Amino acid sequence: MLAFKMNYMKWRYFKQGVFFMLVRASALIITLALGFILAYIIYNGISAISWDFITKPPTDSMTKGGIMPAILGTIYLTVGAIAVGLPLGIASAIYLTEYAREGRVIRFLKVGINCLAGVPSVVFGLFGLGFFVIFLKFGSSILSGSLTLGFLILPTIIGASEEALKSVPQTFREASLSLGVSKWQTIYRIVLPNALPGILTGSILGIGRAAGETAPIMFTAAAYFTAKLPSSVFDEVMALPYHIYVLATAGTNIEATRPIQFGTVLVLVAVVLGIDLFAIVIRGYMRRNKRW
Amino acid sequence: MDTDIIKLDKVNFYYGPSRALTDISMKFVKSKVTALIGPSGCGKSTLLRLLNRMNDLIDGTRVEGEILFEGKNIYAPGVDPVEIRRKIGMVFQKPNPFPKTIYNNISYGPKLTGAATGDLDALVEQSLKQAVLWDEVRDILNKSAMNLSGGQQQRLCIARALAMKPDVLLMDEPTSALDPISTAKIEELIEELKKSYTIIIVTHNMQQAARISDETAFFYIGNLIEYNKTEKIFTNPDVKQTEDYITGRFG
Repeated sequence: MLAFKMNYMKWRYFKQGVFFMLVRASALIITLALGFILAYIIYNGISAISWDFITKPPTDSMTKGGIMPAILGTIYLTVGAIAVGLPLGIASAIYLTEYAREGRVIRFLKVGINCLAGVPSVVFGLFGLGFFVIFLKFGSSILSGSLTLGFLILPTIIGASEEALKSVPQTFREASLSLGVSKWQTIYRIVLPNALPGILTGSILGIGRAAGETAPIMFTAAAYFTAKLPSSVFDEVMALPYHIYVLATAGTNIEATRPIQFGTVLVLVAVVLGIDLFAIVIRGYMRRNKRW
Repeated sequence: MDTDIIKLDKVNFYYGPSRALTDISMKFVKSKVTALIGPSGCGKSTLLRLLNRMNDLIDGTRVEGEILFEGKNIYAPGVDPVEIRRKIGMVFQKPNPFPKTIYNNISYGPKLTGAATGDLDALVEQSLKQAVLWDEVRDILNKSAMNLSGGQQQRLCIARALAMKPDVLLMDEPTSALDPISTAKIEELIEELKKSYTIIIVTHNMQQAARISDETAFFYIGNLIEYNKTEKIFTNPDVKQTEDYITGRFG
């Protein structure tokens, strides 16, 4: 009897061991894949990186020179997308979590937002072309591109904001309302400040996506080549993802520009990480008082 | 001469289809401590939250009857619940300070509602003194309230409510999450506060009700079973159910 029990326990510990190993292995595989991609990009791209590469415009039909206009363009477009997506997304999430009462309209809205998240990015690009570029006559410009990217990342930001708002304890709302403070003041003074770190965390994903997408800006903002830097939001810009696409598929000398392509990829990854890092620093700063 | 500050007239309350309070008619006396007792789910907390319209926050609830505060029905159309809550403050079961400094926790309400006239510093000091917390926090007013102990946090929440200078203070089991020493401090505080405020307190602690209240109401399954002087309820109740409950035979 005792022997049976011992064997049974051993069997259970064995199963537990196997399960832990599987979980560990999955984590390891993901980390390795990411590490491999990064290492591959760095290995192939580092040779192209120089001070001139990130501060000079391309020369010789984009086979030489730098990518400064594209870096600047991507930063403009990403900041523009955040400026469009973040306020709109947070406002929508506040409506959905704080004001809307469960019902058919809200369910329909939520399904709509989820569908928006599933729409392929090229569709956003075509929508931007039809609506912002042609109908509103913004032309292919930073403005059109930022609006298109802003809508693209909207579902991500709404989702993240909803979760963050819901995670603010109900007791905070009750405490504020019980003092005779109005609902909007409660949201503005108590709920939102406590949700912001969470909102930013979730939005980082969207921000990274905005910086890296090619299809939405292809028709709405990105120029094949322009050495001139934009002077207003109605100007076209070069952008890193589109520049990579151009060099790798439609460039004047695809093989010869491989190092430049990888160098550009490396810079794009660095820009995205840089923006993320910035958001993480802000989040850390805002979180310093959080304790509940 | 006792004056009534809050009067309930045939109040029914529903969560969706289910009735949580049945035909409650009662009066709360000004400047007295009234304790609401009864087993869990008897409706005493629901009743408390009706008095400052906190149940408005829950979807699908419905009120019938009238609740008069200083003669006016607080559920009449056109009454702003925000105005009601400025006059009827609340302290919750679990201490719930804001993740702000001690000073900002107190000044938050008066500042945002525009109730603060004159010196905010003085109001903060006065409120903390009333809640017998001043001596413990006078040097750390700019530290986060989250660093305080549970008992201190609860007294801070009382001070926060007092800073609005309410007429009535509702307390929903204010000591149930606290240790005996903190509980004793809050009870002393209530003794002191009843000189200037009307206090209505929900409690699960019989001794507490007997110690601190002037009037006691016993609820059972949404009905007001007995309502009388605390002394009478705890020595010679009229209803058998009340006696069974306070002597611990059920509940």
